[in-house]
Amino acid sequence: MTAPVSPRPTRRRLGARLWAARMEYLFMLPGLILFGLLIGYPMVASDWFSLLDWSGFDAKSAFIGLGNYRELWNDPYFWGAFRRSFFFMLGTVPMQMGLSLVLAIVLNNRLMKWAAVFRTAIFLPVVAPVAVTGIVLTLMLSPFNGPVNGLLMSLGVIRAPLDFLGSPDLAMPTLIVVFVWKWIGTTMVYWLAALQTVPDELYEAARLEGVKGWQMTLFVILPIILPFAIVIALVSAISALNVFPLIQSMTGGGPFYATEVMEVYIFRNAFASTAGSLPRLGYASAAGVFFGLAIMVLTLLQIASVRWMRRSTRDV
Amino acid sequence: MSEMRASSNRQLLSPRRRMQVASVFLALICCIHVWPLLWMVSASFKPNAEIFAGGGLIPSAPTFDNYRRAWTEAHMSQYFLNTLFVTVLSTLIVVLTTSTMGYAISRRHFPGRGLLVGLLVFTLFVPQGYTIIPVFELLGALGLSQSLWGLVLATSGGSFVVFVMLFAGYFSQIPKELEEAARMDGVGFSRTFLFVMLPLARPIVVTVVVLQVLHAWNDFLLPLVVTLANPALRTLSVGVYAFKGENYIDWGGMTAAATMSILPIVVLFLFLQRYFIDGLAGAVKG
Amino acid sequence: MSGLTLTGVRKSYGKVDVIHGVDLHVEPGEFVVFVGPSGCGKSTLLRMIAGLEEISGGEVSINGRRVNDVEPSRRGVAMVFQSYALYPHMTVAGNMGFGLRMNGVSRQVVDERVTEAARILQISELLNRKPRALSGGQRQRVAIGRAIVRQPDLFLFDEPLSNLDAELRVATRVEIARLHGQLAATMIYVTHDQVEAMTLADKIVVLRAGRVEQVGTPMELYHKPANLFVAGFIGSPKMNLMEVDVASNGLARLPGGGTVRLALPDGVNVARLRHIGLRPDALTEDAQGPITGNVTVIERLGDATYVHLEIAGGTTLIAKVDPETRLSPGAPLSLRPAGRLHLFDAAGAAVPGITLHDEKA
Repeated sequence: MTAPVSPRPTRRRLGARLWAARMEYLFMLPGLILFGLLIGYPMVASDWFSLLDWSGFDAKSAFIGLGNYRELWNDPYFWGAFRRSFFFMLGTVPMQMGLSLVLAIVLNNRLMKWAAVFRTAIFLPVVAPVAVTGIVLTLMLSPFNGPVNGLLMSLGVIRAPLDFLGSPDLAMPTLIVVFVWKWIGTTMVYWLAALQTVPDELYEAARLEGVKGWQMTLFVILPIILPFAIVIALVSAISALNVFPLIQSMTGGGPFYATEVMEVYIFRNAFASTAGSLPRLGYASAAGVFFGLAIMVLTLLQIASVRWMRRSTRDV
Repeated sequence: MSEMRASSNRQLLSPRRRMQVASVFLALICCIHVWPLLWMVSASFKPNAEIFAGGGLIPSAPTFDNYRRAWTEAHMSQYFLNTLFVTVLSTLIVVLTTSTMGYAISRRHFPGRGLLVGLLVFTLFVPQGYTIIPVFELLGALGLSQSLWGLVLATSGGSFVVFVMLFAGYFSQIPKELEEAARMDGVGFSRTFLFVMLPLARPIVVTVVVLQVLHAWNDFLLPLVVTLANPALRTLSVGVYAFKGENYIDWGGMTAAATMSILPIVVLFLFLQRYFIDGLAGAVKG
Repeated sequence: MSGLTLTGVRKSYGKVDVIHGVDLHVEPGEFVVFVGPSGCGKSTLLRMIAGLEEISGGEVSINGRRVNDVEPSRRGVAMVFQSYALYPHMTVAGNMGFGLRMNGVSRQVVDERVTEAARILQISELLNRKPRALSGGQRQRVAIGRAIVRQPDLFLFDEPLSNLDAELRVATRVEIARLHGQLAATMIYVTHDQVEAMTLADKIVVLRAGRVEQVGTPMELYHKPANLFVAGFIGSPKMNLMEVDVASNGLARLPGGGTVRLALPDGVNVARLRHIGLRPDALTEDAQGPITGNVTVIERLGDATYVHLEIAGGTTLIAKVDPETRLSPGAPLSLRPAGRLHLFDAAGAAVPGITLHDEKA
């Protein structure tokens, strides 16, 4: 027989229902504590801190209302960091997604030999600790004895060493390329997982009908994996905004703030203020709240578009 | 796959030939991806003078001197143990808390369930910059800011919500009859979870373990902040970062320290590759 | 009172009632089959007996004990699920002994009971395998074994054969019948397949839309269906049902204009008679028969041949004919009733006691 309609417990008094679910609550208790301490409380506390003038964990704080936000609004460093965060995201996500899609399509080809080896090699940087990788790369990109400059010069691409991370014009593009290099393996694996959902019969059917390779890719495969694309874009965008370890370890936000993104800005204000000035926890919190809200709006927009995509593909 | 399946005589190159051309490009890309790791390992066995002179990847006279300096003078041995401690314990905590919570919200009815799920989804992508200050303040208030346990606790929060969602998604696919059979057998709530549901969720446990190990081993902002005033608690990432700040011309020592930090996780990856890749892909499919 | 007793059992989800008050008694050792179409509530009823569904009203008692609020595991029942619900990560022995082990039964007793159940079910050599290494039929046996080791007062089967292929379904059906005899246990069995119901049951409970339509032995239901629904549901091929006009003298006019004469017992209100039912074996070839039409399909089963006959008004009848018949599709055919008649009134209820006039003559 068909499964019975969803087995909802019959409506009883709230107290009885709470008591009946005591095992469930007990079961969730460790998770709830962790969630409350590390996510719930901080989200609320940040909002409160952002209304304080508070210089250091040992210092007294004073309520100043929206004072921090007012100051942020007029702080060119804040807006610079805000702008750079999104610039960084726009600089990395399309490149990362495009390149990794090409890699995934090629690696997904049955005729491709050594696909597993290539995949492993491209994925390798993903597992390496970001900050440590960043430090190794600062050495490699160094204008003094760095092997990257050495290679480029011996190939005749450049005549004099480039200061990749030390010149304000080059630092950001360099970081963007490094970021894509570091994480392209993840995106590629996502694409490969998406491509695996395309049934084999489809390739065979298309082949029988004489569809060419590029037509196949464009008109058959891409539409199928499009819903994945939005999820992948979302995850990539979020990870491109959480870029603290890479930037802090490679440039620390320099030179002259040229690579200072939001998280570096928050860190500098809260924990690593320049000599002489006090840490500004309230102010940094306000920046964190502002940035967090911006990300959340972005997330919700993308989730909404995923929903919309799924619905429209289901109708077909 | 696609590209080359459609055979056409008018195409310039045969499918096989085109794959060979593609292989060459891929090989080039792979070189770019592997080079920094090889260079790092190679440099870690060279004296600084030889590193600065450039040259090939094979050290002319391999030396462990860099490792000795990093391991003892730069306290990497301590940082290594710290990292191991935080990684192992936070992974245990995360598996325990997220699997139980994921089970409860996906398979059980209780008042407040909808609210809880809503809260979880809402906080799915909270950036670390949003929470770092209160988390640090909280560790101080709990008296944990001076111990590794504080770091363990805070590191467990990294991808908490994602993991709960992964477990919830998986549990909700397991047929309800299995729990009913257990109930008919007189097996209680927690033992049904422990002996029936959790063993069945092994793929997700593996995914969560892999992702959490990666996260804990590689985390930077949190351990950096927590250990600002307490260098003895540094993890490898922070230790290498500090090394750079203190001995910025000792490339040999730095690459040796970096190798100690990177190599364990890379080796782990090479051995458990399938789990890493499936785990990551699973996070997106879910 | 021993056995299982349901008294006014009801089930509702919110405002929707799915079981409308069921009364039933099952004797110890009896094999009872709940049968009915999808959505009739038979599985829900079974799950209420098992304790997996809350009981909204009425009472379920087992061996005289009210069990409405008793945990499933303490009701003395064991259930075999449609999907088998074997624990995929445990061996066959592990699956069968899991419940006992979890309830503190000693290792030795568990082993004994598992070995014994495996012997009964002839799966002793499979004890160390995992479920995924078993065929559908073997999984089915393990699921039954898991029930046996608990030594329940009452076995519950929820469509246990529906995931098996046709051949295996017959074999397992026989197996379950044999098991019932061997264990002398009380069994309740849910199915939508009336053949399973007929072959297995001591007592069949026909359900429709949450109500009991009829309770009886297989032959009672076959020969004396209480209403149109049961008449149409029990028996394969189905009973032929035709609209009928009966005059007070017993002359019944069939679709197409043919007539048969009925012998009416006293007190029958002919105006209320609406349908006549004839099983395929109660129709016989007769060139002068009152039912005429054209053959559309011929089903030859070897020992029997069924012809499908389209008569006036578009109704299709099925008749059992001589297996060696030379009939072919398109041929005209005339039939006459020869055997048990079933008459139903406007409300669908059976009107008993009516036979063919000719037979008496």
